[in-house]
Parts: sequence; C-alpha cells; structure tokens
Amino acid sequence: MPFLPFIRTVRKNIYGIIILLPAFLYLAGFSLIILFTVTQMAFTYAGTEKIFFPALQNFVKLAQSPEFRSALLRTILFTVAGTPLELLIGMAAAFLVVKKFKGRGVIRSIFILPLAIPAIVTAIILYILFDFPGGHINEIIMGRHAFFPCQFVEYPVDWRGSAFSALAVSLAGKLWRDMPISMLIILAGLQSIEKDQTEAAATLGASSFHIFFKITIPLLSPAIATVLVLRSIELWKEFIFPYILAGSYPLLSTLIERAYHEWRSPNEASAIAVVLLVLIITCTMCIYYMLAYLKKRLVRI
Amino acid sequence: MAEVRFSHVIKKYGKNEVVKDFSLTIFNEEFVTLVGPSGCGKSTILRMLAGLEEITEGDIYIDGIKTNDIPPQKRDVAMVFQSYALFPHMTVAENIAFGLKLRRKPQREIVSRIEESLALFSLRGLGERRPRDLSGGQRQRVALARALVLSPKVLLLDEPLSNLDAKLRLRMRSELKRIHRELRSTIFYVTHDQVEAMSLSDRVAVMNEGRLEQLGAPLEIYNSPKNTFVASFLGSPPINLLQARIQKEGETLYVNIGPCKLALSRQFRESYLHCAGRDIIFGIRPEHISIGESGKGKPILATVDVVEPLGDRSIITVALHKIELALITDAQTISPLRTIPIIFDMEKAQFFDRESGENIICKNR
Repeated sequence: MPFLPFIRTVRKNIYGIIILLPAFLYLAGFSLIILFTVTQMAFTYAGTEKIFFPALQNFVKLAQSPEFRSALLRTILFTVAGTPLELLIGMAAAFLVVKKFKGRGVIRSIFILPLAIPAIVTAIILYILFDFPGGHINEIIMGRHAFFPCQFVEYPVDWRGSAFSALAVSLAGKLWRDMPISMLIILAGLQSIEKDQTEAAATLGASSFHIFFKITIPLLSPAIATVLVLRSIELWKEFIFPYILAGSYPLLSTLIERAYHEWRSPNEASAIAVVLLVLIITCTMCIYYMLAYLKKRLVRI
Repeated sequence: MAEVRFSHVIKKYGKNEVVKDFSLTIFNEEFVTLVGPSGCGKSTILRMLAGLEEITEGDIYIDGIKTNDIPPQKRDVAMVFQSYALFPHMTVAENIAFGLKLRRKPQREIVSRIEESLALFSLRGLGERRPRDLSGGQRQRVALARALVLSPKVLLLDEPLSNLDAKLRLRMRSELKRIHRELRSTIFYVTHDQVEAMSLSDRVAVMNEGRLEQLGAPLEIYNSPKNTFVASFLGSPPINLLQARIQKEGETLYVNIGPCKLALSRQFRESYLHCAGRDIIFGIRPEHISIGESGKGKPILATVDVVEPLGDRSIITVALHKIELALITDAQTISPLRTIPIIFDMEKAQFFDRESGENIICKNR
C-alpha cells in the first residue's frame, strides 16, 4: 500500500490541516488563481483574427507607448522618494513616543489616528484642500485669511496641474496615512533593544551619536528592513491617492485601471500588472541584500 | 586606577528614598563588595557611580574630582552588567575593541590589546564568534574583557556571576580574584550573594533598606557583626538567633535560653555586666556549636531533627526545648531523633539588644 504513509501523515496532522485549510483556500482563491489568470492574460495577444498564446505582443506594445513609459518612470520616482520618507517619518514618530513623558498615551493615540480614517476619505480631504482655483491651501497662501497674513502667491496654484505637485500631494497623503504602521514597527524594534546595551555602550565611552549609529541602528535593522520592504511594496502598488489626486499623471497602478476601462484592453492591463509584480519582487530583493550589506558595514567603527 | 569616595549620597525616586546617606571610600586597588538583599539600593549606588543614575543629594568623587555632573562616557569607569549586555551584532573581538576604537587608538595597538585580553581571559580562538555562539561563562569573560581592556579607573561589577551555574560561578570567582591580583584594578562589586562577598573582597559593605549597615574586612564583619541583620545575612547556614536573658547569680553571669542556663566565662563579665536582667538576642554560629561531652562548658541535651550531609560535614538541625538550632559537624554517624549533647562556644557568641538588634559589645566600644 503506497498510500499508507501518506494517510498516516494526514491523520497525524489532521488538526493542523483543518486549521490551515481556510487560509489556504483563501490564498488559492484570491491570490494564486488570480495571479495565474493575470499572467496568462498578460501573455495572450488578441489579434484581429486569431488569439496568440504565449505572446509578448502586449509587452512590446506597452514598451512602445509613451504613456506606459512615463507612468513607469513616475512610479519609480514615487517609490524611490517615498520609501525613505516613510522610514524617516516612522522613525521620528517612534523615537518621539518611546521615551516616557506625561501624555505619552494621548500622543500615541493621535499618531495611530490616520489608520482609523479610510484612505479614500483622506484622499478626498486632500482633494478639497488642494482644489483649484478655490481650495483652502490656495486661499491661505494667497493671504485671504486673517490668521495667515503672508501672501506667497498672487494667483492660485493648480496643484493637480503638474505631475510633480499632483504626485507630491498624493505622496503626502500616503505618508500621512502609513505613518502609524511604520511607527509601530520601529517602536516594537526600539523597545526590544535592552537598556543595558545602550548603557554599556555609554560606560564604554560612546557618545549618543555613536550609540545611535553603532548600537541602536544595527539592532534596529530587522525593524528597518520590515518597514522598507512593506512600505516599498505599498508604494509600488499605491492606488487610491494617485487615482483621486493625480488623475492626469497615472502611476502603473492607476494605468492598469485606465488600460482596462479606457483602452478596453484587459490583456494590456494584465501585462502592466505583471511588470509591476516583477518590479516589486526585484526591489524587495535589492532592499534585502542592501540591508545585509549595510548591517555589516555599520558594525565596523 | 583610582580612589572613589561617596559622600552622603542620597537617591530619591519621588518621595521614596532608595539610598539613605551613603558614605564610603574605596581605596586605590581595593576590591570592595556591596552586599545586601535584593531591592536594598546597592545597584542604584553602582549606577550612580557609573553615571547612569542621577544623584539626588551628596557627592561622588573619583580621584578627588567631583563627578556628579560628568556623563558616563567621560568618567573612565567601566561596568559589567548582570546580563553582560554584549553587543549581539558584533563579534567577540569587535565587542572588546568597541571602547578602544571610540578612543581612536591606533589599529596596531587595538589588535595587540585584543590579543592580550583574549589570552588573559582564556578566550583565544573565539575572537570571530558572535556572543550568541558562546557559553554563559565565555560571555561573562567577554564582558569582563570588554570593560578591562580600557584600563578604567574603576571597574564596576553588577551581580556578574548570578547568571552562571553553580560550578561555573565558583570558577569565575577564583578567576576574578586572580584578575584583580594581576591587574591591581580598583573594583566595586555588587552582589546579593554573601559567599561571593566574603570570598572575593578586601572589604565588604553590608546594606539593608538603603542604609549602609556595616563596613569592614570580611572576617571582621563575620566575627563581630554590628547588628542582627548583618549577623544573619553573612554565613551559611545562618547564625542562630535565640531569645535569651542575661542573669547575674552571685559573681557569675548566666545566659538563660528557655530552661537552659549557660555560664559566661569571666573574661566577658565586664562587657555584659550592665545587661544583667535584660532580655537580649543570643547569636551563635552553627560552627560554634559542637557535639560531645568534652569541650569548654557544660553540655546540653538536644534532639536531632534533620540531618543534611554535605560530604565532609553535615548541617544538623536540633531541637532544644522547642527552639530550633542549626549546627555544623564533621561527625558522620548522627541520625534523626537521637538525643545528643551539644556545647556552645560561649567565647564566640554574640549578644544583641532585643529592641534595636544592635550588638551590645559593638555599641559599647
């Protein structure tokens, strides 16, 4: 009976299998099957008479389209600029609340608040704030309010009218909303560093500068890696903020939507999705190896 | 190496006074141990000397220089923590080199100093390992090496042996003593273990509830404790403390313990004469009670309750008219429930005031 060992293994681990089954089905239903279908669609080219599979036609078409190329460039810049900012803001917030002071609980709660507001709401608020020509920000910098008497600009700024400002506002919204998660990860990392170690470093003659760079940062590197990896993935595939705030300047994620709805080309949309996926995997691996290298470098004084 | 002086140091957390008027001088090249039960403030004192804790009142001097406001980095004081606090992301050699590199020593000197200290602490060949790949004893030695490689003015040790198993602790204890002899460093050692305190130090400071109870050479404190706390804190098994009464009959002083009457020899008559008729606490160490008919003084009969053989000797708990007493003997043939004669060595006995717990002789001196 060749099946006997298999059945025995199943019997032995039956509870584990039952517990894992829902998660497995969920992953299979919502990730694996979709991933498979998307990949299949990306490599399928619907010609005028015949359907080709496998075909690279979709990718070739994308590579030739200036819209895709600028979206790709914008996405890369968005992520490259956003990931370190996410880390810095999270770290700053974490260092602020890790020390004990009066009202720390309140400050922490306020820092968590962005998580409680749906992203779409945040995006709409930003849309209203940065509206053109009559948005609140425009009114303030034009000196129309008594509480802010300086006049920076004479004419209202069209925030959504340039790729830079539209994406900057999107990034600001994204950073604001993601700050709590980065902060909590760094905070957990900070709290796992024993006080003894920083104190030992101090008695050995290390200034706070040295303690920070030689002890705290290296010991924090697992948390930093987590933040960088999670946040960069989030930024690659960020949708809501650029969709609401930078409609004229699509990133890859919003371009997928446009390809599907406006170009009426599900296959090209899938191809963009595949490009995005490859980018995410490559970038994550790069960050991983970069951090391993950095950790080694930081130890040497 | 240096001299350390605590002058009326007080530490308060809010209204809670953790260290009360602490004064102590540690002389150059001296090994002083601060011993006391947990929570008595001894670690706080050590941390104040290291600069990790602020001083509420009083001053600390290192080599005559007031150090209250000098940050830990600049005190030239090295500390070994109970958890060792090795840097997990650095190798053993990097851990040891940490302080040297911060002091910008030339590379060649750093390498040779690392080699030296690896040899001194029998860590040869472990330089490239990470702390997590070391045993407890090895980590301990790395922590010591990391602190001592800087030749600090004072070496502070905060319960350094308490995370080791019994056998290793014994070895590290003699190791520490050897290192102190070889390097002649000024060492301030904190422990709750009275055996460590007795066996390692030149002088022992016994603390209780934030107060320095007694300071002196180990044997001096052991033989003439200032009060019942110090008496019972040092020694294992602890000193027997019995409710007693001193009585004068004719020209002789007697100590009454329950129904037993023990005569005091003439030489002590002067010292205790003023206590006649007073209730006292009679303290006698287990090794000062002997079994047998012969010896100084009159034997008393007691019933053996528990026998704990240690190999070379045994700890025996006897009941003397419902009073429990521990004694140490090298006799091997004692079995429970037997009645045996015991003799107190009255010359070694201590007498404490019943109310204050102070040693009656010490107080009179």
